[in-house]
This record gives sequence, C-alpha cells and structure tokens, in this order.
Amino acid sequence: MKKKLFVFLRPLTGLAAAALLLTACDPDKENTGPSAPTNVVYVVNEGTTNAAVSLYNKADKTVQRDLFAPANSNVPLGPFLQNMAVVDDKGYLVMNGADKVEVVQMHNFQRTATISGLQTPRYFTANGSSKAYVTEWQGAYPNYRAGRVSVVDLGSNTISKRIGVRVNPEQMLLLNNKLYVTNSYSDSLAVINAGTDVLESYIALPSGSKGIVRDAAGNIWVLCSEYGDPQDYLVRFNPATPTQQVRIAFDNDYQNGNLRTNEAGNKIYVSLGSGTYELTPTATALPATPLIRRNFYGLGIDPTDNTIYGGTASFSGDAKVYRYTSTGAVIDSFRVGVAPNSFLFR
Amino acid sequence: MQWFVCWMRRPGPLALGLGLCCACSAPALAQQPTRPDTLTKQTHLLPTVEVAGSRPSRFAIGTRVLALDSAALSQFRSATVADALAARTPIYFKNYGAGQLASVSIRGTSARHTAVLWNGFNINFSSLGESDFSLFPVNAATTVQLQPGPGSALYGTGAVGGAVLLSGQPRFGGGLRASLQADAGSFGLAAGSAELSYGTERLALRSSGLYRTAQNDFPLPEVYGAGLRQENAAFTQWSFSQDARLRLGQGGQLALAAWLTGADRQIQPSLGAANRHGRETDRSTRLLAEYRQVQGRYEGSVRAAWLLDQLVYGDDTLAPGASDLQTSQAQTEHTLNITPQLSLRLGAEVQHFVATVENGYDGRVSENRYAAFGLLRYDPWPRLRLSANVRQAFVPGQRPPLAPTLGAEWDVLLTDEAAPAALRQRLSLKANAARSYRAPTLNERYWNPGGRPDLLPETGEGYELGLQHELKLADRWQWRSELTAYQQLVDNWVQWLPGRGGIYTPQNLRLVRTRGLEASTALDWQGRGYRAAARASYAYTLAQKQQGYAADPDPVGSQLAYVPEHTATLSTEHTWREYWLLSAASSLSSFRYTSASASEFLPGYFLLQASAGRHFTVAGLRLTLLAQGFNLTNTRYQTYAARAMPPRSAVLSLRLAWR
Repeated sequence: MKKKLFVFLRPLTGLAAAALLLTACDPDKENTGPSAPTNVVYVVNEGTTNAAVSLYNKADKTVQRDLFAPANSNVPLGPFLQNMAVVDDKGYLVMNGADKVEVVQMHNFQRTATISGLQTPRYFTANGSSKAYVTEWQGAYPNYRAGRVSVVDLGSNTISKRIGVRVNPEQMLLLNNKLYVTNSYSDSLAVINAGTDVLESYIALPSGSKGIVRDAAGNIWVLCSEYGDPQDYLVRFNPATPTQQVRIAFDNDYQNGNLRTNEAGNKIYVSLGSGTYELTPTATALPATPLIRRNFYGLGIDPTDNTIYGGTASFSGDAKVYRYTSTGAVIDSFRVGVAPNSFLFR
Repeated sequence: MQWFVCWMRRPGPLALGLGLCCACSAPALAQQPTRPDTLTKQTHLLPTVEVAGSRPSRFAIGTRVLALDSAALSQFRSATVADALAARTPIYFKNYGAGQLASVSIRGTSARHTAVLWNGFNINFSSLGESDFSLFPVNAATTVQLQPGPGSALYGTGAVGGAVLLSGQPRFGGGLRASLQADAGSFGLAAGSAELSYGTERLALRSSGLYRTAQNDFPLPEVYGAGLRQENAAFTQWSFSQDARLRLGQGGQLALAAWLTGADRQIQPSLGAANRHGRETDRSTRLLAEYRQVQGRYEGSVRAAWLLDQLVYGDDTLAPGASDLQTSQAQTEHTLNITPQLSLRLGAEVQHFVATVENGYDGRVSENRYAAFGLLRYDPWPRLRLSANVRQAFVPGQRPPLAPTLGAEWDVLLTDEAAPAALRQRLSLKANAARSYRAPTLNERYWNPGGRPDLLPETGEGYELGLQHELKLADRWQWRSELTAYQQLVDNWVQWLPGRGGIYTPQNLRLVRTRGLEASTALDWQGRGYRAAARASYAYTLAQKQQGYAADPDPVGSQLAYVPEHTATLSTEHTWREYWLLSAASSLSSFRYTSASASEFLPGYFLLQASAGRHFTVAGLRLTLLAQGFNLTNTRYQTYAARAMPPRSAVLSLRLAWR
C-alpha cells in the first residue's frame, strides 16, 4: 500500500513543484484579477435589521440573496441600505442606519474601505472618479433641521467639504456641471456648482421633492411628494429656464414614488399608489391608465432591453421582484431581500 | 428553591370557604410536611386560611399552571421576571440586549397575546397591549405563575397565548422578618434590595425595595472589530412595593397594595448600526385596594386599581416623545359555594383608559371597557373535576366574541389516602377547550394617522389535552411529570401594513395555527440534611400562517419568526445541611427565523448557568454568600436579530436575613 502511495505521489509532487515555479513568476495578480459579473442586476434591499444586496443573473435566472455577508466573514451589512452606486470597479453602499458608506470591490464584494463621519446619509452621486456627493439629514423627527451634502474624496475616502442645503435632502442629479439636490421637506431644489462645490441658488417647487431625472430633450423632471401634503407633482423644466415649469398635479400617496427614465430618456416612469405610469418627455398630464396596475417600492429599467423591474413593499419578510416587458406585460418574478428600493444593471 | 407544577385544585375543606392560592396552600391542606424555606432557619407553618389575591385557578381546570414561589424566586431577587421565567420555563423571550426590552412568546404567539396580571388586574400597556418583562423586578412579587394557553374567560383580553400572574402576598403570623441583599457583578452590575415583612394574626405587611444598575459594556463578537465593547446599553432600575392585609371582623379582609417601578435605560443599538444614543425612561405606579368578605357559603369581593405608566423615548433622530397611560379598573366577584362540590362565581369588571401619546394620538384619548363573567366549578365525583367559564367583554363600538372555556380533570389512578402505603401515586387526565380574544389596543384604534376604531379583535380557539403524574415514596422521593398537547387557531391576526398614502394601518390579516407539545418533569429527594431536585422541561412548537388576505405579503406554511421549534430547560439544585447550596440550570433553543419569509435565521444556542452558596449564622442573623455564573459556555447568541447578548458573566451576592 505504501509503495502505491509513493508511486502516486511522485508525479503529483512534480506537478506541484512545477505549479509553484510557474506561479512564482506570475505578474502582479491585481491587474488580471477576476472581473465583476456581467449581464446581472444588483438589487438594493433596505432591510430592517440587516440590509442585503441581491444579485440576479439574467442568463440563468438565479438569485443570490446576499452578496455582502458571504464575502465579508459572514458579517451582514447592518440596517437600512438606502442607495448603491458604482464608480469604476468599486461599489459604494450608503448605510443610512450605520452612518457610513461601505466601499466594496465589485468583483468579489469584499469591503475595502469605509467612509465615516456622516449622519443619516441617504443618496450618493459620483462626479467623475475622484469625488462624490452624499446627502444627509440633520435633526430629529419631527423637528428636522436643514440637511447637508458632503463632498467625498474617493481617493482617500474622506469628507473634504460640507455644503448646507434645505431640510431632508434626497436624490441628486448631476447635469452640465451642476448638482441639483432635492429637499423632501422644503419647497425648493438646491443648485450646487459641481466644479467649485459651492451652493449657487434654489429653484422653487410646489412642495418637497424626492426624485429627479433628466429626459432625452435635456429637461429635468422632479417628483414632488411630501408627507402630509394634499397634492403631489411632477415638475418639468429646462435647466436654462428653471422658473418656467410644467407642473402635473395628482393626489398625494407618498408611496416611495420612484422616478426613473429608460436609457434613451424618451420614457419617464413613476410608481405611485395607483400604479406605475409611463410618460413621454412632453407630457402635461398623468396618463389615464397606468402601464402596470401595481405600486412598487423599487423600480428599475434595464438599459439593454428596457425590461421593467419592480420590487414589492415587503418589510416583514423577503420581497419579490417582478419583471415586465416595456409594454407592461409580466414576464416572471424572483425573490430577493427585504424592501428592495432600487436596481443597478451591469 | 422549589419549582411547583401545580395541578391540585381540590376544593378542600370548604367550611373555610375561601378561594385557595394554588401554589401555597394546596400542599398544606393535603397534609404534607411543611417545606422549610431554604433561606431562613426557622420553619414556618402556612396559615390555614389563605385568601387569594389573584383570580382563583380553581376554576382553571384542565390547564397547567407553572408557579414559582418565593423560594424559587429567591435566586432572582435582584433580577427581573424575564430572567426568572427564561431560566425556569421553556417559553421564549426576545431580548433586545442585556436588560433591554424582553418580549415574551408563549406557544408561538406574540407578546400582545400574553396577558400579564398583577394581583388580578391586567397591567399590559394599554397603548401596546404588551408588557416589557425586564421592567418587572422579581423582588416585588412573592409568586410568579405562568398559565400557557387561552384563558380569556378568567383573565380577560390578551390571554390568547397565555397569562403571567404576578402577586405579592404578605403572610399572616410569623412576626417581624427582614432581609437585605447586595449584589455586584460583571459589566458594572450593582444592586441592592431589601425586604421587610411583619405578620400577626390579623395584620400582614410586606415591603420590598430594589435598586439595580449596570453598565453592560460587554465585549462584542470579534468579527465586528477587535476589542469593541457594547455601547449605549447601561441602565438604572428601581422598584418599591408595599402590600398590606388586614383581617376585619369575622371573615372580612382588607387588602392594599402599591407597586412603583422606574427604569432609565439606554437603548442598545443593533450590531452594525450607528449609536443613536437612544434613551428610554419608564415610570409605573400601581395602586390597589380590595375588600373581601366570607360569610358561610358566600364569598364576595370588591376591588379597585389605578395604574399609571409613563414612557419617554428619544434618540438622535427622534425627538423625545412621552406616553402617559392612566388606567382605572374596578372588579367585583361573588362566589356561592352551593355545595362542597359546586361553586359558582359571577363577576364584572370596568376599565377606564385615559392615554396621551405624543406624536401618536390626536390629543388625549379615553375609553371605557366592560366585561362580565361567570365561572362554574363542579366536582361530580372526587376524582372528576369540571369547570365551565364564560366571559363577555364590551369595547366601544364593538363586542368581542363570547369567550367560553370548558375544562375537565380526571384522576385515572389515585392511591387511596386512607391506605397506609409508602408509595402514593396519582395519574390524571386533563382536557381544556377555550375561546379567547384580544381586544384592539389603543394604538390600533387611535394612532394618528392610521388607527382604525373598526379593527376587529383577534380571536383564538384552543384545545389541549394532557396527562399528569405524581409519585411520592416514603416522604423522601417525589416525582412529578406532565405532558400536554395543544392546538390553537388565531383568527384576524393583526399586522400593520402600509396603505393609502404610504400610511401604516393595522389590518386583520390572517389565520395562524399554533400547535405543539409541552413536557416537564421534576424530581425531588429529601434525605437527612441533604435535599436535591432535578427539573427538566421541553416544548415543541409549530406556529404557521394558514391563510391570509390578498394584502398579506407573508408566505403560508412556514414557521413564524422568532418561534423556535424546540426549547428545553434542565436544572438541578442541591442543599446540604442548610449550609451549602449548589445549583445549575441550562437552556436550549433551536434556530429561529428572523423574518416571515423564513430565509434568514439565528442559530440555535445552549446556555448554562450555575450558582454556589454558603449560609452562615452570625449573631442571630443568617448570612448567605452566593456566587452565580451566567452563560458559562461563553456562547455568542442573539434572541432578536442583531442585538448582542452578554458573554460569560458572574454575580456575587451577600444576603442578610433576620428570621
């Protein structure tokens, strides 16, 4: 028996030695490391005690419920993942409940750094590869104070500047070197010069705003939905003439109200309590019937094929994501984590 | 330290004509040798007449009642009811950290399905319909009883999964007794407590006080960062109780009780969350007055209570908001012992709620609720005991369903009392069927926005069947076992869901079925100068949603969150010559899902605690030195997702007792 073992071992040791020799001369592994998966959808799940980023593979329709914990010694993300953004090969996870932004490598989702010094951060918008903006709420319910936008240096992962805006800032839009910041409890949009990071002006709106996108014509759309107000609005204006606004009014329902566009910018989507509506860039009213008779807590439009992804508002257990064609016909569904609020497509 | 599984509810010599406190006097009447209190050298006789302060469990035939009397509670003198019940019973507590909110789950139901009664009055927060068990220091109570299963007929709203009965009963006779205790323990725990009692034939007084504080800066699991300690989990808690009983004339008794508690707690942040410096202040005042009269076959009582609960919570993102809950309750009961085998009790209850919740209700909310009940106990033969109870509650705008209960106990095997046998046995079969209800809480009715005064009450239909066995050998060995199987269907289970405008409203959403098995056994051995006891309990619980309305997102057929399928406890106690005392207790819980979709779970855990004590006698005082170790296996566990629990810890206590 022993002899047989040795006979078996000899070629193996030879191979091992050969492998060692080869790998020892390998160039630095970092540049040729595994790349981030493609043809996938990242689902941002807010969670209640523990948030999760789920991965949906479009090719084989498999779902990995939690990318972060298995890659980071089984330590889960923590409470309330509000937003996720990708800059180059790094993912930035805004942890509203943990007062920080976790920086992960997209190919293996391992955490490499943490941006701290934030207070109840909400959304993250990058300006190139060197800096980014994070909106933060200040104060305590029901007496919130004016919030702020922190400028983060992505090289050192530290905060370089803080810009004061109005109460409870939410999503932002970077357009033509200007950063437009929505303020959900104040009736105005803050405009910041993205080169100098200085607040320039405020654009008056009918009520507090949460979502902001640009369409194919270069116009800016803002979703105004403030808790307790009787009316919600979709406001559209040309950035050159911000006071000339088209305002589409409808009943307030404060149901997250995802405002999204497709890749081309010729279709604008908003998810309200009565359903998910599709508007054209020149619309002056909400369509009579919604495209999909369903409200979604998270909404995303796939840039490759315009498939609509909608996540349900489930907080007591795992939620479902439904997929629809661009004409509103349901395709299929899959399960993700708790409270999916947005999608990233790669 | 004794743990009684109480099933004896014999009518006893009804010439005394008073309801009997199950845990205390039944054994005395059955002519057993009085058990010496392990804490005092002097044995004392239990009085022949004992007036019950709580709803008499003699009408709770067919259910099981687990009672922890003052001897069993003595180990938890500076701890809370949550600690005592978690160590001695297989019920599950969700602890949001050390000394934090302890939320009970009996037989797979939630915290609002357990009614907590203090001397017969429901003391759950009227806003939430729940209690925080870590706000109940054990010091104030002389008996803690747990009755699992539906018991609305006896205990009113909320007794769907079970009821926990707290009572503080001073003893008549015995003169003046006092004891003092000081504790020091890990993570900055320090506590001081005192108990004073005075009893003559006509007057019984008991005062107790407790003050405890802890820093709770225990080390966190290494994965969250090397050398990190728990932040913002310190607390200070105090309690004062005063009970008085005065016998008036022939068969009359006046009782007064007061229980004041206060707690200032920092709210432990969950693992991975930012420290928002959450802070909660709780103040509770409970006052009670009762007059009881016994006249031949008639017993009557009139009682009133006033409860005040004040809570203030705030943190960095939520401005402090106060809740002020005032409840006045009055009850009257009239019992007619028609024959020694037949008793009828009729009663009524009135509750007046006044509540103010900042950032919650629209101004001050007030409500009156009423209930009427009838209880019947009939023993057609000495070996067969039957009870039939019914209660009807009235809530403004609606009427919860009638809650009837039927129970039966039959002694299949019973050693004849007259026979001179060294071995005495009893085997009983018991069965119980009950309808229970949970009236909507003030939050569910009046929360602004979202509250619904038209919300229906939850109702439960439960059945249980069990066997009890007791064996006594030559006054030396005693072995008691019990096995119960149960099933309950809870309908109109309420959950808050986001509705129109994103506003959360409570909805009657689903049908939940819980069923399971509970088994327990206790072995006591008494020798010359040595006493030993071993107890084990096991519970198997299956709680699943059966059906739900379309708006209900939770899946059907999977175990509910935070309901472990298996829980077990095992404990043992030894005392030598009244000098040495050694005990160990362990508990085991299987995994628990952390959400309704049964995808994530907390792993099962095993906890071990042990204590060693020595009694000394110095100048007429009895001195006890007790060392207790908790979580001896240093298990890292959580009972609620992401809330760290302390690792191994120890407490040293010094107790001085006079008589």
